[in-house]
Amino acid sequence: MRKRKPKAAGTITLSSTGEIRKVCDALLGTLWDLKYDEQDQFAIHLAVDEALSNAIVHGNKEDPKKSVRVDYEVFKDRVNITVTDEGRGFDHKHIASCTDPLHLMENHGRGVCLMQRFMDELSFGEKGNSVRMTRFSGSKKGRKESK
Amino acid sequence: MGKDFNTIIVEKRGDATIIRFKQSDILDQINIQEIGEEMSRLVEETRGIKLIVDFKGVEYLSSTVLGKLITLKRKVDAQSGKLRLCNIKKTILEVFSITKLDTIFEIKPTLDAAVAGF
Repeated sequence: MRKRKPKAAGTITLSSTGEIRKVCDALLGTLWDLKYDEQDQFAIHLAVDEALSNAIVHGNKEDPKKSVRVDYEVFKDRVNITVTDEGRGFDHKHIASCTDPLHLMENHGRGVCLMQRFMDELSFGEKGNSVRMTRFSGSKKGRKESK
Repeated sequence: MGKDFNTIIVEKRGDATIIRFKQSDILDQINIQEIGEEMSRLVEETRGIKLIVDFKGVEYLSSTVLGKLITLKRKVDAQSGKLRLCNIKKTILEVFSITKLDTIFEIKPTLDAAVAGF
């Protein structure tokens, strides 16, 4: 079976949290051109933002000499994004729930939770320094009626 | 009051102090640090503040902002004040719901509703 070609694809690298907005804007521009709706755009923006923030802050420890790589493929019906940092990885099998009453008043720790709730597929590389996410166009995830 | 802040607009309505964001459409890592500092400074200067954060015009916010709001709430509570949020867009409201922060913050649909009973 022939593999479908994406409508848009590419790789972006960044090193600081100050560059996250630029990366998200570039991706959102592509989604806009391909007529992804507002809620898909919001969901992808949020998930990518969280993934990049985690990669730079926790993965690369904000070392300006380290990069985070974003690989993306945009199809008419789905978006695949992989974020990879140069860190040692983290234990993705044991992530505290952000809705646990004991952690509700924490200032941080919601990124993975939000990625899980807004993206249709989420998986981590074995080492724990990369995350792959997929959202399907028109997905109900993150919409008010979604369970 | 508004002259002292770079990122927020502060106004009074009765007993309520209302904060709006100057560059309101996106709240993320680029602007939230200074916004958080200015909101905290306002609270620290006003014991017993009845504070409303008006999200009118905010189209997007990252989870960093949620952290700043939690810090703000702690400061307001420590000063025996009250905090309400209002005019939160539906997509962003879902973020509060998913993270269960809608159980921590008092959220009103409009500014008038937030001011009422303060």
